Amino acid sequence: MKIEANESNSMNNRLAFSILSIALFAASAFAEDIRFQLANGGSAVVDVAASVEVTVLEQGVNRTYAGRIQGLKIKAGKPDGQYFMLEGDFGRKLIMIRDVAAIASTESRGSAQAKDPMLSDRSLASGQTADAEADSSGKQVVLYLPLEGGVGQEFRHQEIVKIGQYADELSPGGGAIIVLKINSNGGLVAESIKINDTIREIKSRGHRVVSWIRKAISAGCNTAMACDEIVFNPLGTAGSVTTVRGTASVDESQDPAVMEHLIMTAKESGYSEHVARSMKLNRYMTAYVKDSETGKVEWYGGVDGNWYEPLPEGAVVISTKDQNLSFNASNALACGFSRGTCRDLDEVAEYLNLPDGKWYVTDTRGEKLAKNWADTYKECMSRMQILSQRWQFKGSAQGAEAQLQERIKILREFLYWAKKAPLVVAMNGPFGMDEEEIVKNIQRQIKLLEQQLRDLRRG
Amino acid sequence: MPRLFITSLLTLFAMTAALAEDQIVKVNGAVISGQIISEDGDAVVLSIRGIELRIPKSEIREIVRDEEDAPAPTDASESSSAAPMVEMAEPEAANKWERRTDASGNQVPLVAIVPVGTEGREQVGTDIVPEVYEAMIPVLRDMQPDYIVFRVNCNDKRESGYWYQVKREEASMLNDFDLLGEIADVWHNRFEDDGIYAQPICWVEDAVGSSAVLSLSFCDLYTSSEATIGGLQGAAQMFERVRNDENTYGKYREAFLGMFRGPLELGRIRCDGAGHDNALLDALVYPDMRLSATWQGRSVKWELNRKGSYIVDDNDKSAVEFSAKEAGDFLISKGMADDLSDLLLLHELVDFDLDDTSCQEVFDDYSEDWRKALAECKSAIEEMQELQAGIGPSDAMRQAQFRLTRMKKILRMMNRYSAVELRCQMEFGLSKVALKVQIEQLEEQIRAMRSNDRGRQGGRGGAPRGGGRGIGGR
Repeated sequence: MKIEANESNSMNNRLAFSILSIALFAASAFAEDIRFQLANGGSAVVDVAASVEVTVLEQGVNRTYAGRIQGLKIKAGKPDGQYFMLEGDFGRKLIMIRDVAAIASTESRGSAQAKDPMLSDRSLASGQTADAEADSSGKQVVLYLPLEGGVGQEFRHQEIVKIGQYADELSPGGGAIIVLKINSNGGLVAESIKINDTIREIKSRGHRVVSWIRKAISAGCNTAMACDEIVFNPLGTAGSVTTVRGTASVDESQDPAVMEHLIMTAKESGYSEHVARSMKLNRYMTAYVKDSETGKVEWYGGVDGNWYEPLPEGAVVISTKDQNLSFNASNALACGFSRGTCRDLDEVAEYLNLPDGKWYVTDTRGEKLAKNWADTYKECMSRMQILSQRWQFKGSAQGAEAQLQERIKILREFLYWAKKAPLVVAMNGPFGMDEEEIVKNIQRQIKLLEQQLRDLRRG
Repeated sequence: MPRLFITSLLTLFAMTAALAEDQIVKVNGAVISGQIISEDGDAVVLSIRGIELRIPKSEIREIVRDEEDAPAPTDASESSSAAPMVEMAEPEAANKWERRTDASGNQVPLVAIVPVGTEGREQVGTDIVPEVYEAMIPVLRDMQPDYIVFRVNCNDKRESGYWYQVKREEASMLNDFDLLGEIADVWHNRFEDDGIYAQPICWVEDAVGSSAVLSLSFCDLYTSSEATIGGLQGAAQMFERVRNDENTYGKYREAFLGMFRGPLELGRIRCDGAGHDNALLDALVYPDMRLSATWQGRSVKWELNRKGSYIVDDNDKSAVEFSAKEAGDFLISKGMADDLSDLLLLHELVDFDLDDTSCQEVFDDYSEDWRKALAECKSAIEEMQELQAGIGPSDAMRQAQFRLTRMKKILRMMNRYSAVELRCQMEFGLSKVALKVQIEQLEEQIRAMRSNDRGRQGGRGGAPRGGGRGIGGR
C-alpha cells in the first residue's frame, strides 16, 4: 500500500511537472497580446505572459506596481472579468481592471518566465491551477459569510479563517471571491486586529475579499477596510472607529498603536490616511476633490480646524473637526470609499460581474458557518444568564447536599461554555477576563465544591 | 373580511364643478373642473386650487369653458361616475380585487392605503414594526395595487412631552436603531421583491418622532395642512451622558446618524437620486446644527451652516421642525392635501379605485392584539401585587401556583408580541430571561413544598439550606 502511494505520488509529481512544462511552453509560445481598456478611455496592448508595470488609480492616487499577472481570464483578446492578481516584490495584489490607468510589458515574452525571480514553481503552478479551475469548470468560486453582531463575541476571526480554508479547497491557489456581509456596531480592538490579519492572509493566497456593508461601525469598519474592496447596502453605514474604553475615548497619546493599525489597514487597501484619522478622532478633518472627467479623487487632510493645505474650489468636506467620520452609501460611493451599492445578494453578484446576476457557484458553507456560531453564541448568552440566576436558588429547597450538587452541575456547564465560547464567557461571566484562567478557575471551584460535598456526606 | 371600496369622486366633482369655471370631460367620462390656464396642440393645463394639472388632449372628450353653457353639476357627476357606480352597486358580482376598466378599456388605477399609525398614538417600535408590514405582503400581492399610499399619522409629542422625557401610555422607547432601516427595507425592497410593483406615495398627517425619518424615505411626499415633520431631537439627547468626552460623543453621534440616514439613502436610490438630503435629517436630529436652504429650480440644496440663501434654523437650542406649509415651501413635500381625493388629485389621479381597509385591518388587528395582551399582562401583575398585599389564596402552595400561572401567561404574551416584550421591559423591568428564571424558581419551590408535604406525611422533612461560595468566587 505504501509503495503504491509513493508510486502514486511520484506519478502525480511527474504529471504535475508535465502540466507545468506544457503550461510554461504554452505561456511562452502562445501567449496572446491582450487589449486592456484603460480608466481614461484609452487602451493598451500587453503581453500578459511577461512581467508588466501597472498603474492603478487607488483612492484618487496613481500607484505603479511591477510584477506578473495571474488569474486573468481572457476572452477574444480582452480581459474577461473584473480583476486579476499581480504578483511582485510587494507580494500579491488584486487589481481591478477598471482602475488600470496604464499598463505596459517590461520585458519580452520569451524570456519572461526564466528571468523573474519572483515566479516560483508554486506561484506559477498555483496560477495555472486557478486558471484551470476557472476555465475547465467554467465557474467562479464565490463564498458568502455573513458576519453580524459584536466583534469578538458574535463576529470572530475563527469563521473567517474557515471560509478562507473553504476557498482554498474550492479554488486552490487563489481566485475565489469571498463576500463578507458586515453588520456590526463594533467590538473588541484586539479581535479586530486578529480579523484583519486573517483577511490579509486570505488575500495573500490570491483570493478576493469583498465586504458588503449593512453596518460597519468601529471595529466592524476596521474589518471592512481590510478587504480588497467595499460595497454598501443602501441602508449601510461605516465609520466611527474611535476607540472607547468604558465611556472614555482613547487618543493617540494614550495608545498610538490603535491609530497606526487603522492607518496601516487603510493604506494597504488603498484608502486615504486622512479617512482613517478622521474615523478615529474628531480633531482630524478630511475633504476630497473629484475630477469630473477622470473620476480621480484627491484627498486633503487637516487637524484642529486647519487644513494642511488650502482646499481647492469644489472640495467636498466629509469630516469636520467636530465629526468622527462615518460614511453612508452615497458619500462613500461618491469618493470611492465604496465601489458599489447593492441592496441584495443578486445585486452583489451583478457587481461582481457574475453571469446573469446569479451566484456562479453557490456554496452555502459560509452561511452555515455563520448560523452555527450565531446559534452557539445565543445559546451561550442565554445559558449564562440562566445559570447565574440558578446559582442563587437551585437545589436550596432540597437542602445543602442538593444545593451543592446543583452548583457543581452549574459550574460544569459553565466549564463547557468556557471551552466552547471562551471570549463570550470572559465578557459576560463572573469568572474574570483571562480566557485560560477562567477554565482553571471553574475547575478549581468544582473541586472545592466536590470536597465540600464529600465532607458533608461524611457527616 | 376586507372589502373593496371604490371612490367615484362623485362628491368631489359635484363640489368642484359648482365652484369651477372650466370643465374637462375625459374620454373615460371623468369630469375635471378648474381654470384652463394654457393650451397647446398636445394638452390642456388646468389650474385646480392652485395646482396645475396637464391633461393630454388624447384623454379629453370635451372641454366646457366658463363662457359657454356649463353642464349642470349633477350631469357632470352622472357622466363621470355612472359606469363605475353601476359596477360598484353590484359588489357580489365582483372578485375581491376585480379591476375596473374605464370607457377606453384601460384599467382604472387601484390605490391601497398602508397605515403608518392611525390615530397618532401608535408608535414606531410597538405598532409600527417590520412584522406588521411583512404581514401585509400577501394582501398587497393579491391586490396588486398601482399605488400604495403610506398614510403616516404618528406623533409621539401629542401628549405632554416626547417619549424620551416622560413615561406615557403609548411610549415605545425606540432603542433599536436598526428598526427604522428594517421597516424601510420592507416598504422599499421587500414589497417589490415579493411581487408588489406599486408606486409609493407618502401622505403625512403627522410625523413627529422617528416616523419623520421613515416619511423622508419617500420622494413622493405630501402632507395634510396640519402636519408636522420633526420631533427628532430626543434622539440626540440619548448621548448626552457621554457629552463630556467629545470623541466618544462624536463616535456615537455619527454612528447613530449613519443608521438614521439609511432610510433616506435607500429612498434616494429607489427614486433614482430624487429624495431627501442627509443634511436635512441631521438638522432635524441635532439642536446644535444650523440649517440653511438654497432653491435650485425644483429642488433645494441643504447646508448645515448659514451659507444658503435662506437660514432655516439658526439656534443651537432646538432641532428644526417643519409645519406643512414650511415643508411645502422648502419642497420637502410636493403639496398639501387634507383628504385622499385631494392627495390623489395632486398626484394626477382622478379616476381610481381605493382599498383603504385591507392593510388597515392587518394593522388594527396587530395593534389591538398586542394591547389586549399587554393589558392581560398588567392585570396578571396587579393580581400578583394584590396577592402580596394579602388578597387571594392564603396557603403557600396555592399562592405559588397562582403566581406561576400568571408568570407563564406573561411569558407567553412576551414571546408572542415584540411590543409586549418591549413594554414589559420598560414598565416593569421584566425581561424574558428573568421571567423564565423566576418561573423555574417557583416550580422548584412548588416541587419542594410537595416533597415536604410528603415528607411530613412520612415523618421526613428538611429546611432548605445554602451551601458553597458565591459564583465566580476564587
